[in-house]
Amino acid sequence: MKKLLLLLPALLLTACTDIRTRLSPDLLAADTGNGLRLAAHTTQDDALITAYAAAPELLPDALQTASGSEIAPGHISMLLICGNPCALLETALQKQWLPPSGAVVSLPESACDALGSGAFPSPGQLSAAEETGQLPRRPADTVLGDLKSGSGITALHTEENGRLTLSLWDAERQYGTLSADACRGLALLDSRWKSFAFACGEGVCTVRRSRLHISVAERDGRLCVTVSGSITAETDDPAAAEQCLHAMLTAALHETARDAGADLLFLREYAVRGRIAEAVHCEPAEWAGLLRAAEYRVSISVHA
Amino acid sequence: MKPPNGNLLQRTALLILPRLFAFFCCDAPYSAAYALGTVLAVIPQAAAVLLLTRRKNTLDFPPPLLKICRIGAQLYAAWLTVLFRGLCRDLLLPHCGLMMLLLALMLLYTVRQPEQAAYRAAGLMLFAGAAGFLLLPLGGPGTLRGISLFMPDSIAAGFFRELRFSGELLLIPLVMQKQPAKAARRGLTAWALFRGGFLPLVVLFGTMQNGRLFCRKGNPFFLLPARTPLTSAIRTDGFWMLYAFACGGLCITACLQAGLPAVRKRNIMLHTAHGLPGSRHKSFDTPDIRRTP
Repeated sequence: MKKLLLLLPALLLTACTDIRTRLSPDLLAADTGNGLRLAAHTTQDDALITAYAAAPELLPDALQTASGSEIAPGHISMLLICGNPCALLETALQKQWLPPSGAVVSLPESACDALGSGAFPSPGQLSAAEETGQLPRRPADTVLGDLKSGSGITALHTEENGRLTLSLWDAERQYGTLSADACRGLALLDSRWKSFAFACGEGVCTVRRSRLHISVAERDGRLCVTVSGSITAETDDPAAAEQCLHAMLTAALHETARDAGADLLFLREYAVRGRIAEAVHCEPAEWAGLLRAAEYRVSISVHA
Repeated sequence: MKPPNGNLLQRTALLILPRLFAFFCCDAPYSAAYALGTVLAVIPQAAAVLLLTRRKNTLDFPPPLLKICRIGAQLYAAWLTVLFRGLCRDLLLPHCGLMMLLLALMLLYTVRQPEQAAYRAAGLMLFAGAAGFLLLPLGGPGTLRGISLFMPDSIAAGFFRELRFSGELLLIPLVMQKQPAKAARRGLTAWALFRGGFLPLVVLFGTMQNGRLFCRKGNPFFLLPARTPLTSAIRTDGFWMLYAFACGGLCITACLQAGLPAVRKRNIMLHTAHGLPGSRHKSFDTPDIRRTP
């Protein structure tokens, strides 16, 4: 009898609802700025819900009011953002609306309009670009971690002139987008691609294995970042392949760390490992300044 | 002869589970310094506790110490209840008040059960947790990032945090009283290895998995199941949520039971074993008075 009595509050705790009245968005778009403009694509009826919220914390309430249904945000796999990504991303991760491995895409024009018109890269396109080494993986927790630690600058997937690329952001503004070479260099250093092939001279070079090491040292009062190692590739022209790969890695280092002060490659942690005291104690903005003033070297060898 | 009130494994489980529950409730971000601080804090505690088991054949703690530990166990139960409330809030439960009401009802019921029930439940919970932890790293190696271990953080913060979470030291005299020293040494070694070896390893795994996610509020452990799915179909988030709450309820019950004076415990056992007609509960350390002529 006592056990049966205990079942009563247990049943209350289950918060039983009719799941037919519950909506599960899979794509969420947000235009930040003066308040939040939101749009969510629901999986059940392929519909679009649009809403306005004064703060990121009010997102589920705003969507619920706009749709008239309970919102279950556990299935959101991609967040499209136009504007400052920091505030919304932190709240979305903290409130578990977005999984840590969810994709985040920055759009130059209104993300809500893009979601309505379908003018945004699909999760499948992003995944394919990551697997073929054209873009590095940038899940939500990595993006937020870069914004909060490192140098306070992160890179978000974006689309520019029909080409998938990365756009650099800090908590307030955009720094610009990266070239195709820089994206490929970052993907090569990320080492999470399944195949990595590129046009090289007259033919195609396919990277089979890369063993790259990053080191950060202090020389004459400046940081010196070195990428070294060897790459095994299938190619008819190893010298041309080496030149291409060298250009990719150099572009990755220059366009992110030297030009913008962005630390996407865990350079601060490499500096801590190299016992550089400034890396332990400095603020993210100071670390960005040190990276802008640093020297960058790439020393790789390609074996056929 | 079957030892009264739980075998060695169950007793060890009752020491390990409160720390595991506190680990689930701790919202400090993972870092290598956190893990190192934990190890440094556990070493002197483990050394002191294991020294207690070196000389005697049977552990026999003095009554004044047991009295202090009983009061400490009650306070520890109160602290675990505060952590339980915090966990409800961190995991965004829709009805935190109802959850606390359910906990109160559960405690009213379970504290009156024989101690043996808590020991058995602790043994089962330990096995369930071990199975869950075996599944955890399977999906993770591909996304580990070793350089995250060099994220700057304070070792001292990890050290003092671990000292703050050392409340189960109060349970050791109560749980290990009258136990053979050799068996107690084995159990306490397992407890020390869990705190100083296993938990730091989980922290290191979490650090490498969620590198740089240092300023996020909330419990970092519950990021791990979401970050390391075995496949897209099998997720363990729900298991860990249920496990954490069950672990909390069991630990609070065990602390309250351990904190009861011996006379009160005997009365409860007599009441549950013989006072209620048709009761199925048997006490291991009280004679069956119905069979005496």
